[in-house]
Amino acid sequence: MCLTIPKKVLEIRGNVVVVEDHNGARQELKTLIDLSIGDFVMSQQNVVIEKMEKQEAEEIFNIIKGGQL
Amino acid sequence: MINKKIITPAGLDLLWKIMQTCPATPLNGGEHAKKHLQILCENGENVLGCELRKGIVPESSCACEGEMDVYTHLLENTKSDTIDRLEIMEYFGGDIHAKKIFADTKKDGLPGWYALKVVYGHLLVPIIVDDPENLVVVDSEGVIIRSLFLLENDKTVYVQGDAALMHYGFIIGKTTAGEMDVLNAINQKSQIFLQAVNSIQEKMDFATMHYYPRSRKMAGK
Repeated sequence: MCLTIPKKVLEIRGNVVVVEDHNGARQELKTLIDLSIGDFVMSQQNVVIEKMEKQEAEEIFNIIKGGQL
Repeated sequence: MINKKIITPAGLDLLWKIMQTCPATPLNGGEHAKKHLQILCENGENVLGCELRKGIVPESSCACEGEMDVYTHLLENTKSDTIDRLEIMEYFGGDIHAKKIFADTKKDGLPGWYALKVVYGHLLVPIIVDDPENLVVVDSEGVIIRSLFLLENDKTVYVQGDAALMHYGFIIGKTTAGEMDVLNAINQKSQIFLQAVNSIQEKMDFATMHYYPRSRKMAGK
């Protein structure tokens, strides 16, 4: 619900984007917002719900890596 | 039927405190639903389920196909036709919510032990304030929890020994010893909660949760 992890946008195909998560896994998501390659996004149920600042995304990744997820 | 359920002012008050700590997403109706809930709460009257659900914008929520928004899910999964403070505690402290959170963490690819920690952080849990200045608390299992927040508009003065409620890394208000026992019993009925408590070490630093930066932002830090 309120706990998604940031994913990085790798490819944009219309209203579908290819993103990569912290494990390197890729997936296709629908998007309702304008995005650029390299953006960090949060998603729920395969839909991009918001863009996230790079700094915040990196902070989250550091927390995840620190916990050795 | 859910649209005719009644939510009492006490139920709305606790629901509002919980939803204030939850980041706005399409699945909880976003900021629009939060503002709508705040108004209902401030009115201080019973509301019908249909009134509560008016805060959900269909265009955004239907983008998350097959998923129910939290207000509808609450109404659907509450047995009573009247939703008071107890029913809110049962939902957000109980197994239905725990299972949903756990399932969502698995979809995000989080490993089991961490997923259980996230479940714990996401449930409504009774705690005792240990260090009010640094917001360190202890739960019923003796787990020490650090790096918590207060809501920006929360002017409550907490002292050591106060019984309170914790959700999503926030202390969201005082409670009574009796209510602590009730919520504790609700938590203990959830197998996932019990697994989560067993997996958490003696101390839990909320700053190790990946959603800590979002909670910090909501706390206005």
